[in-house]
Amino acid sequence: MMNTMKTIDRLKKLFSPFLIVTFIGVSVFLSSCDDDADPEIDGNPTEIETAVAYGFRTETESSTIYYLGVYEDFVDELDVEDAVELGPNQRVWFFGEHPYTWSGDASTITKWNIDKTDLSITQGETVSFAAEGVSGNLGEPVFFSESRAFFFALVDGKIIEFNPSDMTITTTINVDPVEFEGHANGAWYDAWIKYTINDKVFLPIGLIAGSDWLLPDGAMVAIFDPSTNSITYHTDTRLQAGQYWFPTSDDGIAYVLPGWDLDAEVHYNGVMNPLPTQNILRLNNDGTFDDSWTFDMNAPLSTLGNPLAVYDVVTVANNVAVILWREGDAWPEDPAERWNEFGSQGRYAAVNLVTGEASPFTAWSDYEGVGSAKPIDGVNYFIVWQSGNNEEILLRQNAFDSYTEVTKLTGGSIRTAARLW
Amino acid sequence: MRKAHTILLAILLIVWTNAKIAAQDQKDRYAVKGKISDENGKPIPFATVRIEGTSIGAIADSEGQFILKKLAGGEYTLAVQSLGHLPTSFKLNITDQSPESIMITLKSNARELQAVEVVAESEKQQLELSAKAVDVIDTREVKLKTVDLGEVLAQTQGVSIQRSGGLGSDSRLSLNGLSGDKIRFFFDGVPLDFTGYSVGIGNIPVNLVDRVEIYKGVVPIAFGADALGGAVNMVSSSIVMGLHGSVSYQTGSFGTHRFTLDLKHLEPKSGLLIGLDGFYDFSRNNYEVDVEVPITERPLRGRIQEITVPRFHDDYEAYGMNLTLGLIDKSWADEIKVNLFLNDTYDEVQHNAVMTGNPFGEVIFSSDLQGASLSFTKDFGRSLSINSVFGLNSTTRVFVDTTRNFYSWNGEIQGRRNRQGEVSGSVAGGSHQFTWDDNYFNRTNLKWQFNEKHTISISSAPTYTLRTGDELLAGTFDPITAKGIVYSWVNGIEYQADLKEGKLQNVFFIKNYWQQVRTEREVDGSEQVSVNERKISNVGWGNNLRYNFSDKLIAKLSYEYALRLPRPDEVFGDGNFIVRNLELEAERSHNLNLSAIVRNSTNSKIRWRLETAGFVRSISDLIFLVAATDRTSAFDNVNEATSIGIEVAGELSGLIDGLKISLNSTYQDFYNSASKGGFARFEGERIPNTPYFFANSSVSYSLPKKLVGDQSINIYWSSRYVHSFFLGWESGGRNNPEFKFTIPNQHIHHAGINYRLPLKSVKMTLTGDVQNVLNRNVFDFFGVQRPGRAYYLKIVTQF
Repeated sequence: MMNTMKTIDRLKKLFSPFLIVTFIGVSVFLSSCDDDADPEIDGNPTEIETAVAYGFRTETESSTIYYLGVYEDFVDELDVEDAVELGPNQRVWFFGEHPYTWSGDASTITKWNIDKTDLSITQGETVSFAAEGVSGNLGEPVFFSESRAFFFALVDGKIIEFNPSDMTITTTINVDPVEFEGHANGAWYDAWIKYTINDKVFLPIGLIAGSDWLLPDGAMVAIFDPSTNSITYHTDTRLQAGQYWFPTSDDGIAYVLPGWDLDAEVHYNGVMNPLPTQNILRLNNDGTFDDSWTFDMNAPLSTLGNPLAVYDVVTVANNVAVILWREGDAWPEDPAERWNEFGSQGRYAAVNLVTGEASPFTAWSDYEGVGSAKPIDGVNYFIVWQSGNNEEILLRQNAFDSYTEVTKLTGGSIRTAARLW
Repeated sequence: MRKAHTILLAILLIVWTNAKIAAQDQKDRYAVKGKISDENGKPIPFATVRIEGTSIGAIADSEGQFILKKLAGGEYTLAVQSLGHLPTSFKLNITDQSPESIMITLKSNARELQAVEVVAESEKQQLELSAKAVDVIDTREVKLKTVDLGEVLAQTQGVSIQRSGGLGSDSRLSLNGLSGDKIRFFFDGVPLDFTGYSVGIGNIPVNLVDRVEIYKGVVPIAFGADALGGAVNMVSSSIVMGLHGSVSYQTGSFGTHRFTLDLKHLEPKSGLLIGLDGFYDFSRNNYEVDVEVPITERPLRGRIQEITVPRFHDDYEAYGMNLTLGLIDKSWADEIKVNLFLNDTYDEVQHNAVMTGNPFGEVIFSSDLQGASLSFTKDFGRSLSINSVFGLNSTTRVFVDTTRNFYSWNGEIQGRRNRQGEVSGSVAGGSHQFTWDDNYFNRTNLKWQFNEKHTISISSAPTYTLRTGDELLAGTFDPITAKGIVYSWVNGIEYQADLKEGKLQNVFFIKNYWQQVRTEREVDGSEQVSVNERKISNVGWGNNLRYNFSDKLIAKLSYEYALRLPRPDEVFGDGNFIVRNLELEAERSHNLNLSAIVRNSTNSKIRWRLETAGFVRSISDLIFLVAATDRTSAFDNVNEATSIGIEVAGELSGLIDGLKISLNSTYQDFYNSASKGGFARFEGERIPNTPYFFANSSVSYSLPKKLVGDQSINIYWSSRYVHSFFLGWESGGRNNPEFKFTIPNQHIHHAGINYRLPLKSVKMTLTGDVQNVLNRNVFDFFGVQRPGRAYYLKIVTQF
């Protein structure tokens, strides 16, 4: 019976193009009689006043395919049909009114143009960094202006300045590479790159442990000064190296928040007396670490249960950090199982960085995981997921503990969103 | 489960007891061997030999040689006939003093060609006309061409091959839409890894294969395999008396050299068999490709330009060898063989999966394999036979990606990176990885034809695999050092009925799949060992039905509920970012084939044959790697897919003397039928990156004898069309089709001529061949260009 139904569905699918063509034909005919449907006023096309763009992806058996979609406003649900197919291994970034896509395979950045009258997407110029030897999953460039941007490949000791308007390379700056003792795989965490008031770029040196689980000692930050094309590295041993992000609290303080798998990496690498993994640090305005301040998350989390690991510090606002942590007594013997029971053992907590008080944070308790997205229109956004129903949702923050589901994607992953104009 | 094994053991014991009794029966201890030739001494292939008044008979092989077994001493009348020759018969007295081999000469009788009744089919035809869902490719003609086995298979309906480059490149064979682990490969019925030809299906030299059997969806129990979508069995040349063999050498474009050797000697008196076969392949694969590279000078520095360059790091070198020692026609064994084999490959890797960015200049993959097998065949008389093969091998695979250099498409070092590795980009280090496999295999088939119409077969195939590895660039924790152990046991029982005077054949079978998977991993480099273990057992079944409505119309219906057992890495992950999934189930598929063969009379001068087949594959619990958390993944049974298709194939010969035409086409709607899970959004859409419409055609023409005399000249042309298909889901970017990632239509042509020298002692053929005649840019995988026009010369000697 099921198969019969599926066959009928299949036949419907085969005939549906004819129905659609007929419908479109009739619609076009009727529309041609309707003067009000003309998008032109006095012969000039009407420009669409706002545009919101998304980068997202879906899986196939053989690869992950990325998409770029541009809409008049936030959409309730993303659909691959409306988007431009970008192919495998892409990243989507936005600057000004243009999306930019990075192909980690081709080592190219492509600029995309959006027609303001109908939001149609056309491909602009492409700049290739293949001759510089950089490729893979690298972080977002820093766009200083329409004609000046920097692309960082610090593992290879290279910063490539390029012109986003004509998409050519201006120069390649050779700098001291990040040294990570050959242990770790270097990876930029690409959502958070911070400008200082002096137009210096703060770069978190995000590192993922390689197969040996080893990481270099000390959290690292790189400060790039574009006026002198120089880079300075700072290390602080109050926190283990790993993945970080640098959210700026509403009081303007840049925090160094440990994230991802740091606790697990340190547990499984077998190193005796490892550096702390559950400290939050602060950066000074010149990019150095604030020696006078540190916050140990373990103590406040212990008031809520038995913290085994901090999985992520998602955000900081009003001196309160929202922490995704794991309860438990011991790590499983098999490292691959370290997050097997994450759904049942993961907890969100709100921890006051001044008072040290911790309380359960319930606003995201319906979601299995959460990640930060870039602010849009000055408002914070987050991407949450539920593997059970294969959905990812873009959340808009209304208040510290109040969120609205804005855009949903079924069967894929939302990577980024931005308002173009 | 335990009960099933007990019953099976009991059956084995009973059968073995019967076999022992039969082995003592020395009554039928004589055999007649011979060779049939024409008046010029040229072997006559596939002649029919019969002992009148008995059911004993044989069909001569391609060299005109035959063997009649199980004869008691005495006087017989031997009748021989072959198309185009006068039939003959003569008395034959079989005693201990009889000659070891007899020579039979048939006189040509072209005028009476129409009157000769051909009563037997070739082995290829016999198999095709059986109830089995099988297509058979006879490689006798193809051996003279310069194509490889991948090209040969791609000429078959229902089969598509996607290749990532030239000789030695990765290939992906798809049978009715199913590919990868879902298809199993065999050489003379033995899993490919237990032979000297484990280089991959697309790269096996065609000269070492006499025919290829392609089982679509329904796989006989005799293979003892968990093949979800079918199996491909390559059959080597048959054993004949004396020294026989073939040697071939091919050279041509892209620095290609291919050499094959196939020698077999059967000593008639002692029954001693010595065989040596093998191959050596080398290709630089330096064909030209169109690539995008950055401009390096101002003012357009970084902008893209397209250039055409030869590939510079794609050398492929491989050799394989089988040394066979055996005894034939002993009282205790019809055939017993020991086979020692080895196979080495060296393969340079030129680029990433989409041929973009920096090319690779130093990435290398290599493997070496050594092993041995022992096979035993005995027909005990009383319609009971046994065939058993034991095999073991050891394989080392090495992947090297350690350089800090990066290259331009001109083959020059463009600079040095701060970290090792070209493959993994700027965010990960390199790799120098070893993996080691030790495999043990046995398969025993028992066949009992308890009367002319009914046959029962039993098959049992245990396999043991131990895999471990080492990443030299890893530190204290190296997940691939974990030991993965797989113990699989596939058992089957089959009942075949030949009814209605042979018009109806039905084969029913049941298979049991049992698997134990175990991993052992050191914990934190300590003495402790973490052990994971899992066992599963599944049952599948199937049925083949064939009915001959007449000699000219044959219909087949076959079905199998087939399974593929999960691999250990799918069950236990990699100990790092791929999480184990002990609940992982076998992939399952309901495979249904319905086919009809229509052909004209075998006595006609003009011969034609039309075959059409429809198939359905309804696959569930497809195993995919899916995200478990945002940093880890796991293999899971997440997808369902359905493949519905039709194949049509036709052959025509004799319209003009020497002209042969064949055509075939396949259309398969292979779509995602998952209504829940991560792929539900794409329900009803075609499975990405898989061809769904393709067709082949070929024409060959042999110049008439009156023009070429004793020589033989054959001209041939073949063509293949593959319709474009998408890399991603159909609906993705549908409203912006100009950006859709599409593998374009391909229509390629090959042409050649072969010339057989008029030598009497040996067959020697020279072939000139042009592949991709129109020099089209051809893509099987997105972005990865295959070779353009190529010229080859080949010489083949058979004796």
